[in-house]
Amino acid sequence: MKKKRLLLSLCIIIALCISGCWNYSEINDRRIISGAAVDYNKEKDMIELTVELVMPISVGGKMQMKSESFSGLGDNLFNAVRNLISKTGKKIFWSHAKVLILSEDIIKEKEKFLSVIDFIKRDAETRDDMMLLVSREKTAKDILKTDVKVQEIISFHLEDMLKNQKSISKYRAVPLWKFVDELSSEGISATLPTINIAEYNKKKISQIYGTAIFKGAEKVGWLNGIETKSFLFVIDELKGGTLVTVATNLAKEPVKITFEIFKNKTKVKPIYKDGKIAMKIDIKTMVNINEIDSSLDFMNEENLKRIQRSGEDTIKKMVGNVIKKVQEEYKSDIFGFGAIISRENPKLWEGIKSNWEDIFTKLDVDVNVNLNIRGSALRSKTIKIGD
Amino acid sequence: MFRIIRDKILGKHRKKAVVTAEDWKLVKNLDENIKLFREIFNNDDTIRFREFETKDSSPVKCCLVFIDGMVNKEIVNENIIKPIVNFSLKDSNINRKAIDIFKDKIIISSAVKEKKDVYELLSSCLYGDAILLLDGFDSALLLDCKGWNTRAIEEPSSETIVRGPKEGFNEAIMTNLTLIRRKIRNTDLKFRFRQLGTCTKTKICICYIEGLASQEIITEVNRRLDDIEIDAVLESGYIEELIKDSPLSPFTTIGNTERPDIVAANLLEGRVALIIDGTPHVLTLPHLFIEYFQANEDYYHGFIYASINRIIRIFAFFLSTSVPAIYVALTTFHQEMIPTPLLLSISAAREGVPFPTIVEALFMLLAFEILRETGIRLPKPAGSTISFVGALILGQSAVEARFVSAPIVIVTALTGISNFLVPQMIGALIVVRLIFLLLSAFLGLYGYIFGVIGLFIHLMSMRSFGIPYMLNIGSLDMQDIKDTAIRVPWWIMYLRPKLIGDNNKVRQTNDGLYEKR
Repeated sequence: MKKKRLLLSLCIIIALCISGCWNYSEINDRRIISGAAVDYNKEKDMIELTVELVMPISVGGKMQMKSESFSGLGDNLFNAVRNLISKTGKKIFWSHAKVLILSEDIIKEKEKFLSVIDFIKRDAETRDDMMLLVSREKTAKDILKTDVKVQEIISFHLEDMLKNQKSISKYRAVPLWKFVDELSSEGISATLPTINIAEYNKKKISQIYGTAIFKGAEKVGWLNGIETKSFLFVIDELKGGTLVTVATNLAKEPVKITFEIFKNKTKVKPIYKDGKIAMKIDIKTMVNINEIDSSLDFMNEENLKRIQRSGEDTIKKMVGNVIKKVQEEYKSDIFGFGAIISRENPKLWEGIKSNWEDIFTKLDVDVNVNLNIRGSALRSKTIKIGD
Repeated sequence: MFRIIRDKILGKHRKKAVVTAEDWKLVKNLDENIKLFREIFNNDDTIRFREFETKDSSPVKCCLVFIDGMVNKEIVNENIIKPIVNFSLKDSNINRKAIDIFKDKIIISSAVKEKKDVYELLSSCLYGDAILLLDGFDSALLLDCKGWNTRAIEEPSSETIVRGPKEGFNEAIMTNLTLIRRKIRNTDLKFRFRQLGTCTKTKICICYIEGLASQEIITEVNRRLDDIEIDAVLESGYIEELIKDSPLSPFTTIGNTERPDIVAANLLEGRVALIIDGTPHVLTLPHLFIEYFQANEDYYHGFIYASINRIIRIFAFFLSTSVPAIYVALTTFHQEMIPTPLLLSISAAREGVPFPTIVEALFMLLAFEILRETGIRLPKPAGSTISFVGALILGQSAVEARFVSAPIVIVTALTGISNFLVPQMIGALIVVRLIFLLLSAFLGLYGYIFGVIGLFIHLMSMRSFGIPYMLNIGSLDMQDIKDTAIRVPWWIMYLRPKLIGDNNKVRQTNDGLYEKR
């Protein structure tokens, strides 16, 4: 009995002593970073890490946030992270970093790039939903040093932009987990949104626009904003945004009509015919008419049908062009057609996997668009200009 | 184990022999008897000896012995002394013992008893009865003429309500019993008296409804009461601690209330009530964990409102035990779990605060407990000073002086306020909160979970007079959970609580549906 009791109390004491959460630290003993940029320093063959530090201070009871950028060099990213301590004073805390900006240089250095991604994914502190961006500027750290700040913290500003992508649909927000997933799985190539610096009121402002296309771990090309929208159409990630069509069949002069996209559903299906594979893309879009640049009676069913047809044609053309461009120029399956085939017909996929790149570039794509005009916002007619 | 400790402590101090009771006996001589009582009440100036005679020519000498202040003087004068003085035994011409005539014909009193035992006489006398000694008899008459001032029936200040009966118990046991009796007019309602306290001889009443309360529980209560040997019982808390299950647990297994309607409701569910003379707090047992969250008002208000209140109380229990622990765990171990804007504002608030979060938390909780205790202890006029000092010094100034950070003040305030939603549990909450806090300060959320598991193991292992403390917590049966986190409408409460009211399960029969069970 006594032995039992001793054993029991020993168990409890040991459980209490040797277990528990790891890494005690007070909040203000850490430097919270909101985002980071990774560059490649060619002369020294080193990785340069720039972090944006958030320094919340309370002034008279009110909280104010300040941000400051620090850069550190290192052979690899982890070294750079630790070398930063000599500048920041305290260890940096990654758990609230929202964005990671990669420069083109670092992407070109394949090994360095992969080790960066590896560290970011492996480390316990970094978040899986951290957004990745590719800088179109020379270096990535410039992005963190732009002048115009809608928000005090640039990284949070970037995060806002990425989060609200569904209303613009000119870039695709890619969190870390998705990027790694696409990078490592077969039949799909990774993409990342790109960021550049624009002039605004003679000040620098960062702007996210377009997509960088990867093939394997190599960057092979860009897509601009409109192309990105078509790309989003195909991968069924379009949630909103606008669509402009120029209808020539309505009046003597072409009429420019702007739709607001409400809902989109894209189904991609492989079709096997005579030993050949083709992709059938069904796009079902629900839109609202939002802007028309001439007077037009679209309560007329005939007119409405024409508008619809014009919109369908536009989408078809857009999507067709992008697919063609990617097939011919980049040869990278960013649409995930391969993944769809492997899902639908794994046996077939096993056979064609090895020369998928060839097949992809010659893949026939059949695009069907079904545009559904739901309404026309608050007005049923265009404004008639009186004298 | 406790017995060993007790014997160790008592060993030194127990007197070899308790003072032997003297052999007091009444004799047939009045003067001797008076002398006896004078000796017994030696040095006590409140005792009164009133000697008088009947109207006869050869009168019967009497002496009324009573304690000044404990008897109703009007009754003594009008109903005892006056009839005797005006009575003539000769006139009545009855061939009976004088003492019987006194008892049956003369004295106007609701309770007259003839007693020989001096101890019985004394104990009644000390409780406000008068002893009538007659010359020539070795027995005395015990006359009920209790009359002392008691507090009026007021609304209890500890349990205030908006809707429902506003009356509360007072310090007189008989008044309390009538308050209960008035609610349950049924011959099955039983009151059994006992006496406890070797020195105080406090009256205790075990109250239950026969055929409803479990006989085993009543037997068990009596058995435990039998074992008590204590000199004084001044409040029901004495008894509560002496007979409760899990004596070391901060959670109580015996409920107490000042409200007759709560006692009546408990009795009707098959519980037993212990009413102790001299205190308005009546004990009810068995007491389950969920009763902490039940208020009498729940049954008077609509069931939706009542259920919302219940859920809020349970949530307050969670807040009160866990908020400081979770806050400390999150801010010192799991910063990644805090939403970014919140993290930044906490970080800004903590800038310049010299102490670790755990020290802050302990300090503020201690300060809150000090404030709470002073608030109760302080004379009422000074009460506002305390709230002023507490709010201003501890709240604002401490934050401005960077003594503590603002979030911890919010955490403490939230904890403290939730505390009062389950007022009976405050004592237990302090302990639980502290344990949780320390666990999560050293082990993080893991430690907190450890604490929660420990708490549940503890609660699940407890019993109150044989009834599992967490009864029905894991059940999904409608009749089991009818009165737990939700309070179902009265028209669904067909059955009395499980196990407690098993003797007579059916509370309500609308259609005979549940009679079969």
